[in-house]
Amino acid sequence: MNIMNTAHVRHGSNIGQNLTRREGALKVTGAARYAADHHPAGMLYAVLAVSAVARGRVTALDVAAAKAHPGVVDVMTPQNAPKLAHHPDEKTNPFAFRLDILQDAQVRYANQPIAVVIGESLEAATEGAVLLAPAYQAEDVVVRFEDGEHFVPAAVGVGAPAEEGHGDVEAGLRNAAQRVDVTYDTPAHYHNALEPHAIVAEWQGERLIIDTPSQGMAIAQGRLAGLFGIAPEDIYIRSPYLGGGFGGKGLIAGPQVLGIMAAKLVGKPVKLVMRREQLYGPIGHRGVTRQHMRLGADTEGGLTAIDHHILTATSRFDDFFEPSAGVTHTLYATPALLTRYEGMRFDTGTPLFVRAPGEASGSVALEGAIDELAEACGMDPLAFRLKNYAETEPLTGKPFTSKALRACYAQGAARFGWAKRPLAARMMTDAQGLLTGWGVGTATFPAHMFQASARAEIRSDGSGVVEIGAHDMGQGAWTALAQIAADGLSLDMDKLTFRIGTSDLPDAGIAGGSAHTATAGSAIHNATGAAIAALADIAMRDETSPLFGAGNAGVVSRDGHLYRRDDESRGESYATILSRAGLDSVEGRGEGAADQAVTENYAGHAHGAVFAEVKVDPELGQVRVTRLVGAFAAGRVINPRMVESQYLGGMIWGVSFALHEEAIMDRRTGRPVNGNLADYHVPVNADIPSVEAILIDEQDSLINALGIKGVGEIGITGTAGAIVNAIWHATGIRVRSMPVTLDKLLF
Amino acid sequence: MRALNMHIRAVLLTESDMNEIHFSLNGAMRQVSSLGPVVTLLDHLRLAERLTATKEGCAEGDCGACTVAIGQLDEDGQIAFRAVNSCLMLTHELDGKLVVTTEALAKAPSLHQVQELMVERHASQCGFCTPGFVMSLFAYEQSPATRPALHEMLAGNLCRCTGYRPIIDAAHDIAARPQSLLPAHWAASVAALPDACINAAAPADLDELDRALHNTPSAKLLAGGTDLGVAIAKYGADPGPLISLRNLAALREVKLSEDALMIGAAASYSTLLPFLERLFPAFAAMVRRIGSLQIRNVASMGGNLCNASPIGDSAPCLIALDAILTLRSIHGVREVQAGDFFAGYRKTILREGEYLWRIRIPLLAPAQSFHTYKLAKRYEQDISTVSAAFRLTRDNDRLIDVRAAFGGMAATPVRARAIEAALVGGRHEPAALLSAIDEDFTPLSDFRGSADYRRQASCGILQKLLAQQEQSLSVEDVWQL
Repeated sequence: MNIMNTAHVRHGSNIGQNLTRREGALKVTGAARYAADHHPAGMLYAVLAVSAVARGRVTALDVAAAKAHPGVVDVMTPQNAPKLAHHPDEKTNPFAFRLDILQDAQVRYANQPIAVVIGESLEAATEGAVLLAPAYQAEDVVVRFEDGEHFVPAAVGVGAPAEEGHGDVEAGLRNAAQRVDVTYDTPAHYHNALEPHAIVAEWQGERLIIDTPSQGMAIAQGRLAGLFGIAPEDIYIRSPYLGGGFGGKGLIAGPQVLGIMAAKLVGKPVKLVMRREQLYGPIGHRGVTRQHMRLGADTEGGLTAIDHHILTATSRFDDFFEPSAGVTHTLYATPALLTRYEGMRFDTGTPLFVRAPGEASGSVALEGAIDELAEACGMDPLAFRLKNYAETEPLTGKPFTSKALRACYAQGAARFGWAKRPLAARMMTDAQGLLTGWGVGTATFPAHMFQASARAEIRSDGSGVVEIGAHDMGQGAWTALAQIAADGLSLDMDKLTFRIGTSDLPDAGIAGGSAHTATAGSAIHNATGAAIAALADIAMRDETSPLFGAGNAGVVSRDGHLYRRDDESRGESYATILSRAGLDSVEGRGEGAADQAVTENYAGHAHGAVFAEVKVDPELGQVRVTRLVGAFAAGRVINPRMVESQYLGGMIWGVSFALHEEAIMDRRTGRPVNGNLADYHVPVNADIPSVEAILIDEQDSLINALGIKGVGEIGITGTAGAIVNAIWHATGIRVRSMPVTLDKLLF
Repeated sequence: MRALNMHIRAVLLTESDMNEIHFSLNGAMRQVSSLGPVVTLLDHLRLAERLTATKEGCAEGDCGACTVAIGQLDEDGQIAFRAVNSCLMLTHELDGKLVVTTEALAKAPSLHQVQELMVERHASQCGFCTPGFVMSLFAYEQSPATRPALHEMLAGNLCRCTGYRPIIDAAHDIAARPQSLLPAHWAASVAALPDACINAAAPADLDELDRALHNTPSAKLLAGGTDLGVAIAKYGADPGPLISLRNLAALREVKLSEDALMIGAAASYSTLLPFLERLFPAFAAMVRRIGSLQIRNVASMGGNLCNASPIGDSAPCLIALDAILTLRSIHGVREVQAGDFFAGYRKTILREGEYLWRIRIPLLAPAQSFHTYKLAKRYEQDISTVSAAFRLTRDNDRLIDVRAAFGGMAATPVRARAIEAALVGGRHEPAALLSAIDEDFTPLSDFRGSADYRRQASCGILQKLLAQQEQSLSVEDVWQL
């Protein structure tokens, strides 16, 4: 069954076509193999033993009992773990976070790996892990802001300043006609991709072969090469399909490294699959925040100042501070702006990137506070946002590469029916007596680009090959990037062989920061352009070619042919050019990266507006989101179906942020109280309202050659704020602590 | 596999010396020892069969990535399918059944219509939850006569990428299409299996069960296995000796008599739901929010009661409906009121060697009505913060009798006598209702809700109940936002 090549009808350009996902048939039949589905010959099973305490030391492990269990092959502990080339706590680059891979007996958070049991069967290894019966010396833990000291971090996110701004915020607040001074709390979130982290590792001498889900294979190669003292090119990673990433698979996590160490220890291939409850610890999470917002406005409703103070927690042993201020730097025009951070150390794993890191948590606080100020000014919240519309980036004063936010507001509002909204709260009740409210939130996310390379090839049979080590965690890289590749080579999709998902291909950069399509797409665009140019060069230098002497600028490619631009009756096929030259193929390579001249002089962001309707039961406090309309502008759309899906999926994460998700830690033990999918709530389909995403046209000739911004994360921003604001509009109650659960709406 | 202990025996062999069970896997016969270690169907598929389409996302029946379709031949020789969580299903329980996984649906070169629509609607993104959704949709597509609402059918499958809408779009398309034809060899493969009742290491009738439990009073009874499955699959608990109830049709019977509904303790929620829909729609509304379809397809009301959860959503209904439980052992039978069945937190009054046989629910008199409420943070698949059930008896417009029972307000589901008195006595203002609530309950605070919220929300429930009496709104109207 040749299901990868489902025929698609192409009308001119592949870009912009609504193609279905190319690997869809593999996924619905179960033929797509995820990491844990692999089973090399002679493979053993490794099972993690994880700490039941959040801070202290492991004082005893009954290794003998575990090893005596039938089928247990070995037990890996700090005593016998393979020696590493450098210590896992060494910070070799800004993306090297400290790992817990059995370097010692110390415990730094609950669910930290403390041993690995390797068995002939999963059953034997699982039983072995139980038989270890660890004993601990536990110490007191801190997992709440109330319980420890605050400090000013050296940097937040990845190297961003902990204090930024301009103007005199205190004067702006002092002179304001209306002020809000409010505090918003956001909890820790865990990625909870449906696929738990898994690895199948096999050593072939000094060469390492792994199947593991990765959003950044090249970064993983670098990290593993450093730890094991081998060359990055001796590490071969296969990651063609990720069962969801959401940032959790951006950096290789400790348990994945332990799978590799276990394979080294026993000299056989090893599979290690994390159990759901073990994910609440060693793979990162969205850090908890407490955001103090002070805003002022003049009598006309114009902002006079924004002060955004963020208290956030990192782990006791490493630094990652949730960078919640980003949205405040970019959204609303204000003469005075200040964003500041304080940090705390909790006895948890290190918080890391979770879908829209910083933007998601910051957006709820900013959109909530802006709504409160609009209320204080007696203004419609959408009119208030328009009044304070930023024509240039508020923090830097730079012009935007493009910004179609006004169109997002207008089209979203029209579709939603915003004009009928009563100004005051608690004015709408539906036929069943449920309080009804409407809210708006502005969405924004930066248009990042990282570094990527790609390789393109045109073959003498007229087909093309494009290779790039890109990652598809569900967003659609297999399809959207192939559309860019086919267009770059001016070929139909079925003439293209497209390879991604393995580390031997050119580095595509990390699939994160909503930057993958822009970055990898740009590399593909340049590589395919280089291949076409090389082919044109051959033809133009060949006296027998109709293109002889045309000059580089005078040749265009279309449908597997090159033509003279000035006379399109003169042209020939790729196959003809290459056969006559006696060549099997011609190759081009290209890079993708941000244009420094643009990033220095312009601000690049995607924007959107989200409108929410909620209904609240006045007797029970039960909230339902009944309607969501989002309108987003993010540059060029490669595949509308997939872009819409990213928006819808993102908006549902926004619903989840507002109403469901919350990791609850036991303040006495530091253990997660709800570390499972029964109690850590993500929405089920019945929690999902009627939801609609409108794709707003936006042309951006500056951001990159293809005009692409990112779409993977923006949907969360704006949405949670819109819902919280709608809850106020329904009930008159401002809930400033996420998620808004029924018990916070007692009235 | 997650049973951890190699020495765990799945089934307490009673009076049969046969120790093999047979089932059809995608049309091919499989034979496994019924006396081996406990193995979940998911582990059997992924580890023994190396059929890896079926995924493990949580190993406790929350995410549905492991969903497969289980088929049984009905009287007409047709296969009736239901979706189940393979992570909770013990392989031994498959004796005589057909298991279908995603791998078996497509017939090259074309996809099954469910698969095709999942692709067409962009309902598969990362793809990890997809095989589970495909199997839920397949079981749905194959059961045109008994299709639940779409959101109920999909409640047991979590998706973190799509936001569900594309999946619901695909489900709508499937609902509009004719049922697909099954490969002929599937039914033949099931018909060819050895007779389950003869060749099974499980009691064949209640007398045999009485003796088995008498001989091994510590044995646990395995009905749907959804609680035991979690204990085994997630916590690696050694369940000790087990007695499978899979061959006891007498424990699964649901019968309607002139004045009562009789429910066999091991009847699955899905089996009894059509009866509840007709007789006690509000009870049915509550049951539809118990677990997910995959869970309700195997889980039983008897199992729910015997586990004596402080919340267990069916218990308040049974208490308010004055249900009678029949308990049975080798020494005979006895009857108790549903309200007297719970002895404390996760404790029942069952004696050694005794089990719950059946549940008798008296039908409503013409002057009676029945109402239920479930408060939970998430719409589907969530344990209640508070649940409540009320049977009201009216003389014209006057309430003359109220039976009220609450879950989530005490260590067990309990009857609320002070509340009953307040309702009948016409003390309907909030202060009076709150004081009755305080007389009946001292609720706990936990992460599902504070004590004060539980108190206030209970008052909200009572006000809502009273308002509905005035407006004659049905429960459904209020709940289905």
